[in-house]
Amino acid sequence: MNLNIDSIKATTYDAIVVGSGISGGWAAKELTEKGLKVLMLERGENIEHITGYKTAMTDPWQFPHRGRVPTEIAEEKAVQARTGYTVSEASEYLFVNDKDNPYLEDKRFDWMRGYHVGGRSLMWGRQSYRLGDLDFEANIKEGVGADWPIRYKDISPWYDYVERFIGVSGSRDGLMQLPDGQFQPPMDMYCLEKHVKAEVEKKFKERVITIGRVAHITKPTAQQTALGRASCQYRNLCVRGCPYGAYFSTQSATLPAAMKTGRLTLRPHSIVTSVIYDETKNKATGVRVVDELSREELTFNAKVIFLCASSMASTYILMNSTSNRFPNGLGNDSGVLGHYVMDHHFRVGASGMYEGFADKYYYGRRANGIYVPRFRNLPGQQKRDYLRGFGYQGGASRMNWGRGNSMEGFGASFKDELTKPGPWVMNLGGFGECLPYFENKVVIDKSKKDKWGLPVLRFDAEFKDNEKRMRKDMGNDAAEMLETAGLKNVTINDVGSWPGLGIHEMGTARMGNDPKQSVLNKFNQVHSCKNVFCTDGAFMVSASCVNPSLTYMAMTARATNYAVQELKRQSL
Amino acid sequence: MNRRDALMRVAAMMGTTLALPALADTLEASAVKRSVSGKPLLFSADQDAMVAEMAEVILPTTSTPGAKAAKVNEVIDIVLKDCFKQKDQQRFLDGLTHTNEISQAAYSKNFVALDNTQRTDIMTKLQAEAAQQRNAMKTVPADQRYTPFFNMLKELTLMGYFTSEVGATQALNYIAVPGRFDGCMDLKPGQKAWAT
Repeated sequence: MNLNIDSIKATTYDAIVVGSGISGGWAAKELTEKGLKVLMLERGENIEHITGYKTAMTDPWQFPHRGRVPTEIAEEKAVQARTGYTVSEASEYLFVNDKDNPYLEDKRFDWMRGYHVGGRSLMWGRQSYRLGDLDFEANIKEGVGADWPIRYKDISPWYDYVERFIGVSGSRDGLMQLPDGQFQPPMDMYCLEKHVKAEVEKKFKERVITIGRVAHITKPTAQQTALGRASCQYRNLCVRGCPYGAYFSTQSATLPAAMKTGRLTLRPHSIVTSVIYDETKNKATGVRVVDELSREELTFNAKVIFLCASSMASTYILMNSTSNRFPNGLGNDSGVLGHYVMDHHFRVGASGMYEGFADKYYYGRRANGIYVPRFRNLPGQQKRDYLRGFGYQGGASRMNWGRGNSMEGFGASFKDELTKPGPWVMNLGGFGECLPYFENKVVIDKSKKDKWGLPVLRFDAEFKDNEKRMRKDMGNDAAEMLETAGLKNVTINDVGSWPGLGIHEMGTARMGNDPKQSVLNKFNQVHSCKNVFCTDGAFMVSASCVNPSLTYMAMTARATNYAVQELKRQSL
Repeated sequence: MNRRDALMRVAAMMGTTLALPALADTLEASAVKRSVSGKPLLFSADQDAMVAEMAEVILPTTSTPGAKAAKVNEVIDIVLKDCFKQKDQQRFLDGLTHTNEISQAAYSKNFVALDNTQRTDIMTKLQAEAAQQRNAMKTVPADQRYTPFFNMLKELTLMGYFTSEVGATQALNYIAVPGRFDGCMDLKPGQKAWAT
């Protein structure tokens, strides 16, 4: 990648994109391809595609701590480690230092962040599902939160567009609650998953088990090959960055596409602190930046600004952009900015063992699981004692040598046993929708400062009774399905869920048709400051129960298309 | 040549007086230091040799090399030093002392001087003690529970061995880049488990 040093000196662009993750990468690609000169600002360091993934080709024995992290790193990344899986010897460098990047928690909030070019597109779970009208109509039908300003027909062509570009492998299932997309060939299921699917679908009319729809290439298109991307190699080391470019990330796909236009300038180490609002022009003129390394304060100007810094960070930037016109934050006439924090609640489900298929095994490491689309509170069904629903992610495997830790014994026969595949096990983990609550909020707290002297975010959000009631079904239904398929020792696990931990935090600058109740209009445009757009998860009006990134991409592409039309009409 | 090898060559070239942790980053410093100096970091030389022998009792050489060949003691030394809290390190070191005490009581020799049958006997005793400790801990608050020495040693041995090159490629079957996925195929007679 070329960092265009000469053009960094110039400070005026057609568009500024704040953030280089899933949404920012899409904004940069679309805007440059439509002819705009774009500056993409990233607060962290640059990570080059392939050569920057420093553990991608490391064998297990080349890690001195075999995956564990030294206590020094564990202390620096104590919040980032709350997931239990993000801070490993292979991946810790992709997660922020919590001591440099603190925040405050009135209630526990697990904020997982990756401050580098590509953002969390390098470490994301890659599960890619569409929202449908079941989701878009839920708020208005139930009188919860505000109505979505769009319906499925508005976003459906944009889902098509982004799926074709990023590459989503999956199976078409014809379900109203989980619309089909433009899929590359699906990944295979394990023997046990095929068995459980058959038994569950025989017994329960509305429960479907399908393969995860995942942003991995299984049959590259010419467009993907031209960007240097190849098919998934089934190593399942995605969190380290993919040297084959097999899964979608900024580095593998949107960044090279944007760079090809010759119109993108990428500036790492650029912490955007606020949007500059011009009261005479009634619009934004640029952004203020603190250089991460030199701490120099800089200004960059543009005709249009896309905030794609991640839900909480874009919300922070808006709240921190105060002026006489906007004393409570840019575009915050409604007072909803920072409210309605949502995330998915999870870490509840069931697992069990299966005594059959002892003579069956598998080849390769599938970087994907199975998916059980929502089957509760669908139209025409009897209502549960909670609103909305949940889906399951899960999968089967044969236990590995790790089972030796809970076996008695040692010596030759013990060792021999551990060199063989263990028993089949399978788990189902629910991901549930969280309702939008006004009182779940985030504010800027000036009493605490980060490494750069900037005030920090303060979180006050929790899951409430609707989510708690849903969790009973999430555990019981999973156990019921596994037992139906003949699994033994089925246990329900609910290990607790806190907002943020799903790494789907969203909703704090929601869109809507009514400027009195929303920050953004239906094109992700700030109602009261037309040349500022926000297309990361902050725009979400309800959470659905599916992984949200695909929706951020589709909405970003749609918003850029609108913004460029408006620019041409000189309406921004 | 990977990054660690490169660092070690530089370190060797410049002599071991160089401040190695400053040269290597946090993740690699200890491994480089042990490799260049040839000395254990947390363990004494005797403790290091003893851990190697105890690990070999847990995962002995059979048709494939055992824990000693995989240098599991080196990994345990580095992981204990870097990734464990001081009180857990101490419990491990105390466990080694205790092992020699019960070896002396039973056979009037330290563990490393015992024959294979005697070693197995001592390890069986340690296993039984650990089971008792775990049982007793069921009724105490979670923050007062700990992993008994025998289980610490066993977990670290399994981790060190099955993630080693010897363990992953000889005792198990390691394929770095599978290239395709087949979710349901026949298990061949004698087929080893995948390493990862």
